[in-house]
Amino acid sequence: MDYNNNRHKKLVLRSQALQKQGKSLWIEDPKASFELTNYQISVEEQVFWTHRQNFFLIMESFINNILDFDEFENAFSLLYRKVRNEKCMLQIDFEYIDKFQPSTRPYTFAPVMGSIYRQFEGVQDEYITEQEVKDYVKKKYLEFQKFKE
Amino acid sequence: MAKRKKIKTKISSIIIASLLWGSKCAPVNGISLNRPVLVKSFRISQSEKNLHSTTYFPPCNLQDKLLMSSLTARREASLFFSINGHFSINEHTLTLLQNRGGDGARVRKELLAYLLLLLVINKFPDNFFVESFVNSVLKKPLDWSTITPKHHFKKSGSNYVIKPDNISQQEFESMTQLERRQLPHPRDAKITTSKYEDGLTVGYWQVKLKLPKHHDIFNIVLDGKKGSEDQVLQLTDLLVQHQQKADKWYIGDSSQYQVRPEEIWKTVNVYDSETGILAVYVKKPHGQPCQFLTVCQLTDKEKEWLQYTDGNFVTQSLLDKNEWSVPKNFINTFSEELNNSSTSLDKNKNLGFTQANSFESDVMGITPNSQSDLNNP
Repeated sequence: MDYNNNRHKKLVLRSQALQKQGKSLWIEDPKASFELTNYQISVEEQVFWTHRQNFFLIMESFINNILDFDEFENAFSLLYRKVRNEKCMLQIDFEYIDKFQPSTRPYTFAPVMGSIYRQFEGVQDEYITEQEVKDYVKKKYLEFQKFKE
Repeated sequence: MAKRKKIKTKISSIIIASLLWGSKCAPVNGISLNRPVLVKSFRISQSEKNLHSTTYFPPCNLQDKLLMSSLTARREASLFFSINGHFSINEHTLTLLQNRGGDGARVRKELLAYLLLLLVINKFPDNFFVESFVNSVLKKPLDWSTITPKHHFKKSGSNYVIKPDNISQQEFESMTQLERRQLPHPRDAKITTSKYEDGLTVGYWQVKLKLPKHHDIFNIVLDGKKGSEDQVLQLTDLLVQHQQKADKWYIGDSSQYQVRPEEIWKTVNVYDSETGILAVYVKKPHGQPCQFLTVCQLTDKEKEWLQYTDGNFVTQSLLDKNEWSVPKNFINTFSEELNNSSTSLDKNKNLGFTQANSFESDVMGITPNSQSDLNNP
């Protein structure tokens, strides 16, 4: 699905108009809602990408045992939530949407950050261990570093 | 035997009354010697309130042992406390005095011991013992890290659950952590709704567990690391409000929660599309309400998957690792284009745990064009 700035704006407007009427695009027009979510994914990717150095720093510190698991979870969660809030604002910011260019990278960054964030709950629920999270973080960190070379 | 007991009780009462009269102490109104109602001073109630807020920790670690012992100490101390300058003897003391068998000498000795204590304590200011205990133990910051292993609470988080009286210890121990957290609690919120006939239960223990991880999605600023009792109740209230506001209830067979490849829950997924918050309730046998499991603010990919699969909540972690599966009899009802695409979401396969590596590029992704720009803004 190709990104379309105008279409994105129209769908945001429509979604907001429906919300004012106490309705939602999700229910009223699932296809359009699905399309909007696709555009939002593009924005999400770019917003997270602009904060990648902060994420890398935290990941690296965890891998090198500078941060223990609790510290890593706290630091990562704080950053993740901050970026997520920023993303939510930008996804409906028309000025931002007008200038927006989707990623052309051959890999995605935001889903990996989302995945790490979700794994904290997995540790709490004992579906995965702290070590498994660490292994995943290390694997992904090294994958991203490869692209630098 | 009963007559003898009555006589003993009368003698005891006379002795107590005469000694109290002699010690310039006045009895508290409304307290008789026949199993009176437990009377506590206001200040003791406050201390008790504070102490109760710390009674939900697992009874198996050192911290809890200390807290439990503090509670016991408070109860023992309350035997002797006075109310507004008057003495009060609690139920426990009187029961002990009235029901103790054995010979008269033993009863007299016990009585004298109690009365001596009463007289000694009378020389101290009101609540001296409670206050000194609170000051010396509870108000003093304790460094738990030196006496408990790191991550202790996280690892045994489920042990927060206190065994209810109507369940045997054996039965309790045989339960899984989740089953324990789903045990009834007076602070559970029971929801009756037209959206799902069996209703929902927002269980106290489960909310308590989830609060530290999910407080932020409802803008709760956590008190400390685990949050306070009030915040557990606040989150419960917010979950009740969430289901009232939610515009989409996924209750069919496709409504699932996939936490790991081999673990898929049949759930009722309650979604508020305005906030992107999804609350997950585990289905129970017919007639029983669904139990609250978790609440999340979905990532955009999770949202898309939820909508595409008509209510299947797969965590971003599984989506990213390509470890998701498709619900049985999956039918995409809203997107013909997507059904016609080369996605691996093959509805005819009745997939149990089939992975689909091409989902991102086929369905959700925007096809990338160029090479790495990792260092570019």
